[in-house]
Amino acid sequence: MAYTLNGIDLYNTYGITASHALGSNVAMAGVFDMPQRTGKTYHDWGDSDSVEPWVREDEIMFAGRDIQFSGFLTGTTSAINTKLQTFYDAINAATGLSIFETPYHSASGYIKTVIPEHMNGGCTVKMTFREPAVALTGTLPASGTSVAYMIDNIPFSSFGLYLSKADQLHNLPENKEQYFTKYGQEGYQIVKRKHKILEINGFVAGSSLSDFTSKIEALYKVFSSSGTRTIVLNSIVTVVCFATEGFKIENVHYSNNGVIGRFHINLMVKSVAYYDAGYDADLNTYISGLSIALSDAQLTKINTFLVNYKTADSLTNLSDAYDVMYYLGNETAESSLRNLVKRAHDAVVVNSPTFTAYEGFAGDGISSYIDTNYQIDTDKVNYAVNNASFGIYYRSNIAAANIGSGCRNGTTSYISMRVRDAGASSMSAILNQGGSFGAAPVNNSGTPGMFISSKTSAGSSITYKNKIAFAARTASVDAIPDYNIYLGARNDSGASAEIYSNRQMAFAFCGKGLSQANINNLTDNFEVLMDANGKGVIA
Amino acid sequence: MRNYIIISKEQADAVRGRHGKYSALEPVEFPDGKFAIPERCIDDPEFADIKVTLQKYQKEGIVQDIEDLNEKSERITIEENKYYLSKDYWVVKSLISTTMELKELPDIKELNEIFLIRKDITTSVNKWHK
Repeated sequence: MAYTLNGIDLYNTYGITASHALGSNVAMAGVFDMPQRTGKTYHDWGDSDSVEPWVREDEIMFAGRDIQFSGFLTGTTSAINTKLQTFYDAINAATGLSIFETPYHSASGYIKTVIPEHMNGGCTVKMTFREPAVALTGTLPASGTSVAYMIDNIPFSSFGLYLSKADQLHNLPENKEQYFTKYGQEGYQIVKRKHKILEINGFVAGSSLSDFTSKIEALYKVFSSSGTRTIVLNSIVTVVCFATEGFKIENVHYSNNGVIGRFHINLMVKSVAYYDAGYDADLNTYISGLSIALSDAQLTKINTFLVNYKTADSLTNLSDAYDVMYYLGNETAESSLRNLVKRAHDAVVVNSPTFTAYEGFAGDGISSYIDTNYQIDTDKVNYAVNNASFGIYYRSNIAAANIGSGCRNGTTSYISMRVRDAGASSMSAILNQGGSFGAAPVNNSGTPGMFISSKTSAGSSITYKNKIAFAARTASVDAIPDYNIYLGARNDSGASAEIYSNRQMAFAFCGKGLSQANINNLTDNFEVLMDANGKGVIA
Repeated sequence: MRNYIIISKEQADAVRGRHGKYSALEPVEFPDGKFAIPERCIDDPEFADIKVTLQKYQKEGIVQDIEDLNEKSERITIEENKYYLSKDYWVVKSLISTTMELKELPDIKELNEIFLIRKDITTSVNKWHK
């Protein structure tokens, strides 16, 4: 394991042997640290608690870092001084940045200090090397399924990170600065609170030096990325935060079994959300890792919906009957795009449809829609060709021909919800059907609300509007088109969207075939949720 | 107002795809082979990474409010080279400026000297009942 300065071996040339940094069994300290940010990292508004993070990509800049080398020389005092002087001469001969190569890192910078400490027959050397520009490159590990500890939905363990203790988070922050003028007695001003701190202490472990290094680089990447971080602790606390001081890796131990080092970071907290253990399990999974927490009032309303609906339909979990369920009219756009059933198939919005809290998303009839990321034949669990349901709660009722949701495979098979054609005022819903079709049911002029297509046997499907069944839609072929379900447009064979809608949608789902009783339970309970925010549209 | 920025295929390819945490941009192809992006995407924080590019497209290109064609009304007025949203044929492009006074406009597919319709929309959506 060679240690070289500008290509010159410290041991062979200067007699400097690498030893151990304090609390470590390697000679280097600070070599894995992430440096602190420079410039303005947040703005502290006096009229609100906490701070406004400055975390745009162009606002994020970093300082350099000090790395320390520990070594020793042996010999007489005179001989040691001669070797040190030779070393110092080499250091001072450098006219530009020096390259310090170690088994752990190749650093470009300059030597700040060398501090020898003489003792009988030898001398220890502490050298501090300044690395002005640190490459914070790395690759983020893949997002995981829901686990107890996560950073941006990536499990701690994927970073090789194991938590020992998270401190300070539950402290009440100090008051912000008070401004007042008072004579003769102590004055005061009632002010907002400073930001919270999340202090994480733990360790990072790698199976080899290269594995350890790649895990540290992944931590560089995640904590240097633009935006805030969402950290989930023990599945019950979600912290939205950002790093300004970098992190420290100390007490590094390297052995045949791998490398391990203590990890320490202080994060500035923007917001904290606590999960109520009394909430329904599906709700806790749904809100885990949200970057914008839902209000307690809204959580209570959703919890009531889930508990009452699942009780009515005798479901333990939504996943007993459904594959995807989106409460599109939730409090935030982020939560509205989340799948209530499981931490998969979260939707994305395409071309910025308009979101209105408690109401939902609406396209413009030209290009915007929601892609559920639910590729229906590939991803189906409960949904089946002759046992399926597809539902949407439309808040608006707009007569137009060119509107719809679903997907199709050419003209072979369709999942399609076209709820009101202009002129004919008719319903044209199709569920896993193709070939030659029977007539579309009619008489859908007028009211908006919950539209559910259900198929429980081959050959026909039935669509319900606000619990009332239309005539069955028959077709000669039963087949599932294997494309992502779109909401507010129809996916045309995976190639493009078509028949865009400008209706506002508050809810959508896919799952098993539903009975009239199931449809009644779902419609009634969801309407209670919509009414709780004054946004229900079913008369 | 449904303002759209009209761009070329090359420009569309440069910005198409996932952006931010929950969003995607998918420029749509209009009947004349041009592509379009909703102007509101410029102010969507999810598209912050391409905001400068979108602003450049906005500044250098054409921005048009796409109005309804209202082909079921008794009179329609159209302007040459403007895009309209048809009830039956999605976005169409007018080839001339004119005012048509008709109690009932024929299927605009028949008016191929007046309207350009995307080639892959072969049948009136209103009749196309699936």
